[in-house]
Amino acid sequence: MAAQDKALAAWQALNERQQTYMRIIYRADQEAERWHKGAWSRGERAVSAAEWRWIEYGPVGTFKGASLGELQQALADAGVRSQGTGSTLKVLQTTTSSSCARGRRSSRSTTWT
Amino acid sequence: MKLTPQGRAACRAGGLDVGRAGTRRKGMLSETLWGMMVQVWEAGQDGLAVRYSGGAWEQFTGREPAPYMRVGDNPDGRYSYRMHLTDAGRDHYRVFWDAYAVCYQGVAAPHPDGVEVWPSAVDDALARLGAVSSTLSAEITGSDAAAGRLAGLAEALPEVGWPSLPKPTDVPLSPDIARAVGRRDRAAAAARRAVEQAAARYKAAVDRQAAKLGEVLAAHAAALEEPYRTACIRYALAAAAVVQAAAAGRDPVAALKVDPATVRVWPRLPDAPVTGDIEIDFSLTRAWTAAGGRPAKRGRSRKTAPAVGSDLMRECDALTGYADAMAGLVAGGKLLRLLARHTSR
Repeated sequence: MAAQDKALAAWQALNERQQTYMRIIYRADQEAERWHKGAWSRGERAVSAAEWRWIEYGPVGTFKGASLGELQQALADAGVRSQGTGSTLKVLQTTTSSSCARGRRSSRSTTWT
Repeated sequence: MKLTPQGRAACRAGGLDVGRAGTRRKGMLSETLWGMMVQVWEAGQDGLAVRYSGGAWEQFTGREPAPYMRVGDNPDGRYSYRMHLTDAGRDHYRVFWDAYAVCYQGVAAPHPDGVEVWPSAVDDALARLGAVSSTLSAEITGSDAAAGRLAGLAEALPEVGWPSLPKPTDVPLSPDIARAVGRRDRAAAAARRAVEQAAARYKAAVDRQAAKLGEVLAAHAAALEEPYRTACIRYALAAAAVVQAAAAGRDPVAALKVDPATVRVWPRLPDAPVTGDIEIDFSLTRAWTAAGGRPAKRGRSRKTAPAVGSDLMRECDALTGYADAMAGLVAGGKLLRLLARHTSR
């Protein structure tokens, strides 16, 4: 199976909600890419992709009314942030042969990046 | 979170690559340079009058071995130079026009053979529909604001500044002078009463006229509400029909004719158009939801989609925003170029 067919199969294996999540994460990823590729022209030093590829998700399990992180806000704006968000993200991280996303806990114990 | 390379590949395979579709082939110009070439092409035989012939223009004029443009003089105009396409430039335009249309969807370049890619009549018609609704909106908000200012008009009138007279004293005065002071005080009191009555009448007259005009303005604004709502619906329906026609490859001019029966379907917002492009459809659905559209719940008939809210101005603003988004999407054939990505793969 060619790489492109494999990628397409992986995409089609996702359900509508998971595709919406991927769309939002992809958009954030591409925005970060555009921003960091322009670092030189803004007179800044380039940051390694290993660092900027991590997109802040936001605080998890904190008190109600805590301000939302970047991805949390984007999911909320798209109207898909709910109690099932954790499960959906978990599925995206463990989905079959090609895991679509990875998560890690940041140094601040309650924040996922 | 972090996307894995497989995740990113899956997203692209799924069509989430609006920004990336423009991978240009060897020999193609950058988007800015292509935009400049299109300007010169549009200027035709006379060439494009420009102020400077250096800078980015040198990418064309200094190109080896065959320059795409040559510089001519423009003696009578405000600008000193004229840019003309050379044969090589025209060839490049012809050969790569298709590729550029897919690559740079933001540049509306005329077809090299003069074929009308996107009828400008459609953009004009949508702009006119948009102008009607924004004019009516301005009429209504302007009338409401003026009526609001009229309400406080009488209170805002200045009070009469009455001059103060010398106060009566205990100093004995001669009877003649005392009588004269008395006469003066009586005259002043009478004049003051008359002035106060006149001022009250004046304020009452102002109040009456303001109230009368206020009623006229309120009636005017109220009478415009229905036409405004209809204008917004018409605009949104026409724009949606054009988007749908463009996506389906039908004639957008024919789609402009909004069926009066559809307008009567209001207050149900008809479903957002579907183009088949996952990213475009996502933004269209977002605009549609903002305009009051509600997705039908699973298992329920779409007929039960609830009506949009009742606050006229908010509702119509949202509708206009939805229509503007669609009109912007099709303007100059942008949607066709965006959708061409799928067929050019």
